[in-house]
Amino acid sequence: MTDELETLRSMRRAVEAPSPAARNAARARWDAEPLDLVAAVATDSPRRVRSFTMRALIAGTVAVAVVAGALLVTRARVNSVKPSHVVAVAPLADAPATEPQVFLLVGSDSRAFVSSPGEQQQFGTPDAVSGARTDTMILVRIDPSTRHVLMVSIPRDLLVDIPGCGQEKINAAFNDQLDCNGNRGGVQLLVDTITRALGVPINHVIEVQFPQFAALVDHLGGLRIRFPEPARDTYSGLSEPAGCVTLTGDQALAFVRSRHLEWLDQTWKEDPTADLGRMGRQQLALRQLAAAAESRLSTDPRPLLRTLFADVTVDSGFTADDALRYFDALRSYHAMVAMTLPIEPSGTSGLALAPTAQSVLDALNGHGTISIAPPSGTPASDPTPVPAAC
Amino acid sequence: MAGVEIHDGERIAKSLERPADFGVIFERHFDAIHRYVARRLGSGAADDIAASVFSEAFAQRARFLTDVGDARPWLYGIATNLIRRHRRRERAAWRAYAKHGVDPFGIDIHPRLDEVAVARALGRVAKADRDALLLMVWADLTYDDIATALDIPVGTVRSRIHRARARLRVELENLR
Repeated sequence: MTDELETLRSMRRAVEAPSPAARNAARARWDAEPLDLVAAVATDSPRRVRSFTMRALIAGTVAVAVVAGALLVTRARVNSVKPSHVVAVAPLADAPATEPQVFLLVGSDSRAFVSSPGEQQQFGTPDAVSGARTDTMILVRIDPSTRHVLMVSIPRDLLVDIPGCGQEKINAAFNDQLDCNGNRGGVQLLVDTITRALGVPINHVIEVQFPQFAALVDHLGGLRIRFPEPARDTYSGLSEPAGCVTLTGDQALAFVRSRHLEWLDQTWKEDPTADLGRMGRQQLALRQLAAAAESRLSTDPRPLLRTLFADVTVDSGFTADDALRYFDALRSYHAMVAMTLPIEPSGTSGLALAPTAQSVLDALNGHGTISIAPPSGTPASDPTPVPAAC
Repeated sequence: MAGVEIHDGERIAKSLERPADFGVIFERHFDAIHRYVARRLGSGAADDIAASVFSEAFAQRARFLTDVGDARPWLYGIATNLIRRHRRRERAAWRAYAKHGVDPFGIDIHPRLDEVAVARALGRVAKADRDALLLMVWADLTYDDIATALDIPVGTVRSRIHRARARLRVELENLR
């Protein structure tokens, strides 16, 4: 059954990604400007970086949405394309568009879009799955002058103080069933919560729902992912062979939603990383989509622009003029660092910020560089497979 | 590449005027090149060789054709040339692997029996055949890409891979 090529391929499974230190040293050989952001992460050991950095995201959209916004005013003169859903979120931190911006990217599970029987079967009806929750919150900092992009996933189980509610998991702030002494859950409360609890002012919000993500992926020609072993998730509907796979929009959605991933190694074994692993896979997806979007945008940006701005929900301050500034930063970014906010267990099922989280939050605010303590404990002898770019 | 267009050529052309643009090429391909070299010569050697691939590519970037979408064959070609300088070391490593059942590069501490057998075969495959085969299975290059990378005709790629596979099969057969 096993043929010689399969055996040979399987020998790649334990090859580690290069350490940030090696990457940085390699870059310094030809790049005259060393990158603070990357250099800082490079102080870390490879294994720890992988779990924290495990590349990026659910709505591959930030990069893309921002870029697309920029295009509103530039190249194609498609001024008629405007976001159709604008959520009034105020007051957001105000920064000139030439300054670094922090975007909050929210993946929403609202079933409000469901209309066809096919969608009902795939996602459930709005009655069966009411309201809106989020498991995906990603802060993205774009610095137009240095062209550095920093993406930080916020774990949904992070315990924070929600205004009016007290200690709750952070994603409760988005849940529209939540009522905290008059503070209703939603984008506004989530923005307020993050701003206060993490001390990161947010300049813009982009909310993405399932079908928009899938449509985006399809529009970009699919999501390229390499699975070191066959993978499945019976909850999200993922089922992929080993090797390089081009995921369709629906498959990519199952990939970024997957929290019960299983790997086939003789038998199906559940990936123990659960939500942490999911954030890493989302970061990977975002990176891949940003790369795909970049090449797509050099052709005809209008269809992509329509796809993006037709459905995503953005804050009312998100103007095409502003977005123009981020276009170049994303199109030829110097450095993209994607990571999960460092956390540690708290209580029975919650998480609290790890001491090292502060340097990441500082970096989101444009201060200092990221430093993460070396890992404690011994690395697992049998590492869990991790999907990769291909 | 299923619809996802890659415009490496365009990006490299821009990097002639704006060297920072080469960063996109680097970010896009560094991990893959590093992994490939690491699998062949270990992570330690990969740090140096993968870095050399990109400094060499940067120095030669004026020679890369703008209308070529994908820089991977070019980069793997450079990598292959650099790996060749370590040929003796690689061969010795595969032999030690086969003999002791321990991955000499410390990449995989629990190699499977069939992998050890394949390692033995790799130590015996002719060097040119091995380069072609490994570009296919470890770098995921197509036959055309491999032909570009090694600067040989596609027919030659085919026959080299055919020979290398035959050798691998013999080793696996002996295992049974």
